[in-house]
Amino acid sequence: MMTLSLMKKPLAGFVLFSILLLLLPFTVTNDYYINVLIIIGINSIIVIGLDLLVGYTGQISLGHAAFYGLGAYITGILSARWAWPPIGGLLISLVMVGILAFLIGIPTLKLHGHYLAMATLGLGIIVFIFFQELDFLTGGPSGLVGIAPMSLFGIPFDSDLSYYYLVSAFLLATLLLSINVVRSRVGRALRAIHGSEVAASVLGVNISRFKVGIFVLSALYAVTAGWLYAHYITFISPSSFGFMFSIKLITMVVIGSLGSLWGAIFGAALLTSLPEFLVVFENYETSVFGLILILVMIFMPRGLMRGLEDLIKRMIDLGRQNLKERSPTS
Amino acid sequence: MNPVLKTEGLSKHFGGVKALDQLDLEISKGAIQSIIGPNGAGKTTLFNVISNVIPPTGGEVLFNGVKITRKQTHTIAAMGLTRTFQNLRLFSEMTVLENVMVGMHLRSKGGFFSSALKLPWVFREERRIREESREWLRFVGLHDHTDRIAGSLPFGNQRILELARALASKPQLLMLDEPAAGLNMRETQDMVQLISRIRDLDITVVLVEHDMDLVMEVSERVTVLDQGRKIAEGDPEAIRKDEAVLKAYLGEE
Ligand SMILES: Nc1ncnc2c1ncn2[C@@H]1O[C@H](COP(=O)(O)OP(=O)(O)OP(=O)(O)O)[C@@H](O)[C@H]1O
Ligand SMILES: [Mg+2]
Repeated sequence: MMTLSLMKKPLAGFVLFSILLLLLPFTVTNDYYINVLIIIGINSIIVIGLDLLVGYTGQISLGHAAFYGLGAYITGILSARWAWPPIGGLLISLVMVGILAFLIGIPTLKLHGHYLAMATLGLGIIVFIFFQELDFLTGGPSGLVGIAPMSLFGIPFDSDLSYYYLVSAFLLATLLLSINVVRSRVGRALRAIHGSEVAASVLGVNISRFKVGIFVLSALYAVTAGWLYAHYITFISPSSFGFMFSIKLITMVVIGSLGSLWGAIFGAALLTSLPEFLVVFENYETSVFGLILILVMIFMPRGLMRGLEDLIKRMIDLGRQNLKERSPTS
Repeated sequence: MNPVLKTEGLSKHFGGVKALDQLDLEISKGAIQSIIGPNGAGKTTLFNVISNVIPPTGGEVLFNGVKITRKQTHTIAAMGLTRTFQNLRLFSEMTVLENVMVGMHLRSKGGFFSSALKLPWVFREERRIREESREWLRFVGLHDHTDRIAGSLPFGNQRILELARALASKPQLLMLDEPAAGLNMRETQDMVQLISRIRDLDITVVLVEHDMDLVMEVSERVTVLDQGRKIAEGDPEAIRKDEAVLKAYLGEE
């Protein structure tokens, strides 16, 4: 099966995925859907990073919406208040949030247990309060207006289509870096930590260094996504970066498949586009997500992507058996 | 000759239980030394404390004359000391080959930045890791299972894989915690063969084992622990006849 061999040859998959992204806009009939694709792309960037942390390394963050929000607000504030160019906002927010994630990661990741989950949960709450209360900077609960539209090195990205390609370029870059990390000494160390911290450490893996490293990297992905979001929407408010969004991100990782980058994108695409199809459920959106999460966990505990993979494998095996039964000579 | 590993007054208490009680121990270079003793004698605890998976209550551990008592486990590993586990701790979701490749962690350098960008030297290093890991699998005889998920191997092979993974780090000192536990007679024989071949790699082996025949067959020296203390030490023949040892084992029943 093609999907199966793609998992084994991620670079071939990467090329096909690039072509898919390139052609996708031509298949949508309604411009509104370009909009949805852009948000899917932005969410995918966060979820890929979160999957490196949660799926590969087994560390849980309940505050990735905060990193995403900080990415959006830092560049937003610099742009709206001081007319900084977007690229400056990106660099500053990467540095600031990188340091913040490092400072949170050092003490919490050294300890065993779920300290990271708790610390990031706390971080999410504190950051959310900052967004709400620091009116003079953030615009408070009613939001921050006047963020400049994206423009990089003199090139404006003012149409939805051009923005779609910009987001796609960032998504592909993120994906490629992540594929490389996963298929390297670092990626093996991360999965080893997930498998057994004690065994990894007796083989010389510096557990806290790798945990902190991947935590910072995943935070930086979220910052980049926040930056893309802020200069796309040009208006941001705290409600986009609350605890519920952190949970939604985790749900995307789990539904897609823990520890599969393609699954992460799949999960992001599914849960981002679902509300568009489920407008009838409007107020029950969260409940519907919860229900989906529970169903997936029960019936496909390895995630939808792997669940489908398993299903396909089983069908192939059945097919082979049938063939064998029919032709006893083979 | 200076010992590779030495413990001085090493103690570990779990509440009232003295798992290790003022233990002085010396392991000399190049030998296979076995540590035996009844259940609960403190053998696994000794390994845990030496590798600092759990901190000691008191005493010191010296490796090549250097104090490692308060060093982190991964630092100790980097100095050339690694181990296996009585209850297997494979990376069970990873393939057989990948497990061994993690074993080569210390002997390679690729970090976040260089790996993400796949710099040319990382590419070459990765190939070296892969090739040498395959050789280790050939060395232990698991080369037909390279791409299987480690957790799906039969138990005996999992024990061998854990050994291959430890070997891939090319330690100076390798501590094996009951490598034959749960193996059938034939697998045990294979394990004996394998352990003998490890000695030829210039690796000092410390072996904890219940299987007396195995101990007598491979080890040059035997230390007997009981209730966290050393009750006898000597060559296998002497230990077989030792009064205190017989008493410790019989007293158990
Ligand atoms: N983490 C722990 N917490 C409390 N007590 C422990 C712990 N680990 C070991 N012990 C106790 O310390 C003593 C020594 O245990 P240890 O596992 O070192 O024995 P052992 O010689 O390896 O035995 P076995 O042959 O059964 O593997 C036992 O009494 C055990 O119950
Ligand atoms: Mg034991």
